[in-house]
Amino acid sequence: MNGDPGSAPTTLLFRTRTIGLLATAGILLVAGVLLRDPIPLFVALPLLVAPAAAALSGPRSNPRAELEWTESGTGSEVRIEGSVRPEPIVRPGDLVVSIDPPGSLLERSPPTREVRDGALRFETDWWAPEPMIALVPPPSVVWRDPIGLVERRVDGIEGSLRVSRYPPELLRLGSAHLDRTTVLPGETRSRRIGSTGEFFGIRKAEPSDPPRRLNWRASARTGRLLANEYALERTGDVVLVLDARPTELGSRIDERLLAIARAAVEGVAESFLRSKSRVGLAVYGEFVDAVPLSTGRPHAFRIREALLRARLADVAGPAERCAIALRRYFPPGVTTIVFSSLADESARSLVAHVRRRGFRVVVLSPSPLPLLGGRRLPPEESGLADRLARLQRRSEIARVWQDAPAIDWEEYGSLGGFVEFLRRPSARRVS
Amino acid sequence: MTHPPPPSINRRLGLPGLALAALSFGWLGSASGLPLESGLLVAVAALAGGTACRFMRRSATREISWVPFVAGLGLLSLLTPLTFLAELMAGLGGIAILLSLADDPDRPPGGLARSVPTIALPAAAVGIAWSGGILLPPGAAPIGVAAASLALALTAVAFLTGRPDLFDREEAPTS
Repeated sequence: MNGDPGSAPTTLLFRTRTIGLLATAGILLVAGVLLRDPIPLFVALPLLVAPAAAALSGPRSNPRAELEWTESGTGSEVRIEGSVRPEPIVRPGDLVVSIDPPGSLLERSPPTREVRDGALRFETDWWAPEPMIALVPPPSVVWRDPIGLVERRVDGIEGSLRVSRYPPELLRLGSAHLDRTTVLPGETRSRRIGSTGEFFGIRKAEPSDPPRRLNWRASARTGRLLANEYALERTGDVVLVLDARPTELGSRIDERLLAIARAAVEGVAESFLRSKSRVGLAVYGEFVDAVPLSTGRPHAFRIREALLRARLADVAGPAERCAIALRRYFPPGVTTIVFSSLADESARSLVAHVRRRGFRVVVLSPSPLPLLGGRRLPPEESGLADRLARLQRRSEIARVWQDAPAIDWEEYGSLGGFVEFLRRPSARRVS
Repeated sequence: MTHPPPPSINRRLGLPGLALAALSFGWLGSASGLPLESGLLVAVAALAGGTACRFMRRSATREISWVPFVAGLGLLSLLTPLTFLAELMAGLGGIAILLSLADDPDRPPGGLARSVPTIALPAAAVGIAWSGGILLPPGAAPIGVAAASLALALTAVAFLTGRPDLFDREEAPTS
């Protein structure tokens, strides 16, 4: 396979309607000759000539175009806006852009397309029913003649777009106290100037500063608005463990729970990285895929890549293997957040093993209950079944609490409870 | 979030193509060997079927909106007695189908204007064939010769356009 775009085959593709029109014209041609009647020939003539005319009207080889696209939208709304600008020999109106949502996104209405400023602009209207991260592959772009009979692939359309949606409360998570605050030999304390921490100094106020951050006394003295700056020293580390092992729930539910957990991991990692904490990641399927502790933007990219790589494992590795591997990558005593559905005994034992290896564990467990809504039972029995399922789930979470605090995440759109829990260190103590 | 309005009724109908098709189908329906009502019924059914397909929600159904047009036109062309006007109307019917395809409501507006150079070639072919039909002496042999020549030429064109490298000029060597 040659990846050089210049060597891509320059094939002219006939569409299904072209084959149909040619076949019909052929039948009329034969009928006209057999019946010695020229009228069907006159019907067949334009249908036979049109594909050749369409092919001659377009570029002789695959045209090139540039793709520019961005992702926007708030909450569950995912809007992708982009433009495809072809080379001058191709009219933008002759381009056809097809873009399909990845599996975790749903289409609310078909994408819109319009020609403006020499480019074909498109906009999608998708929504994310649950937290997710996904890579949207580049749209398929073809040149198609105006009658829609022949088409050519357009080269130069490259680059995927990352889309992520997670509960907004996670943005506040960076201020949570992290257990391990001791600097090891060779480590440097990172300092963050911002809105929290100890008083650091005074600077000129900016329009975005809230009133409580203004230093009113200093402003009165100098006659211009001044604002306080605070310094926050952060040395705490956090390790995020994503349990990607299959459970008794079946691959369909497991995949969805993993997708939800991946989004939460990304949100937690981004939040802590923004506050300059060091973040490590371990994805555990059959073996551990680890991203060591570090901080900064390149590290955020590494974590994102690892999360996009994360897939549900075919075989579930033993819980102890994960705990042993974690000690190889991460020092003990680090605040460790385990993302697991806790759907079976193996998942629950992971928490105990990790804790025994010296990690301070907190569990965020995406509940499978909202995904198990397909029971076909009468309303009264369905209600009873739901209550029983909730009781069982509560009992499973309670058992995990013997080893580590566990937060049941049932409302996928919100993680307020989890954030509040992490921000109150006293609540994390397990007797 | 604001979205552009859905395609207008005129674009859904594909008015220029529909008008030409109505003229052609109507004339062929009334001049066909069928009783007047039956001929017109075939014409109306073909036009209504093709137009209805363009209004369907499923894109796969909209994609085959040409099928009722072609089926109705083919049937009428087989049933209509030979006259010069019938030949012209049959050719115009074929052009009307291409116009209807060019005015695709699923694509950006202006498809009809963009398609003029493409449709000009089949239209010219119909014009040449029709004027040839008027000027050449009548008889069965020329039809067979013309049909065979046409098929041969079109096969050659299809082959050549399927191999674009045959058209490409070699770049001049740089010194």
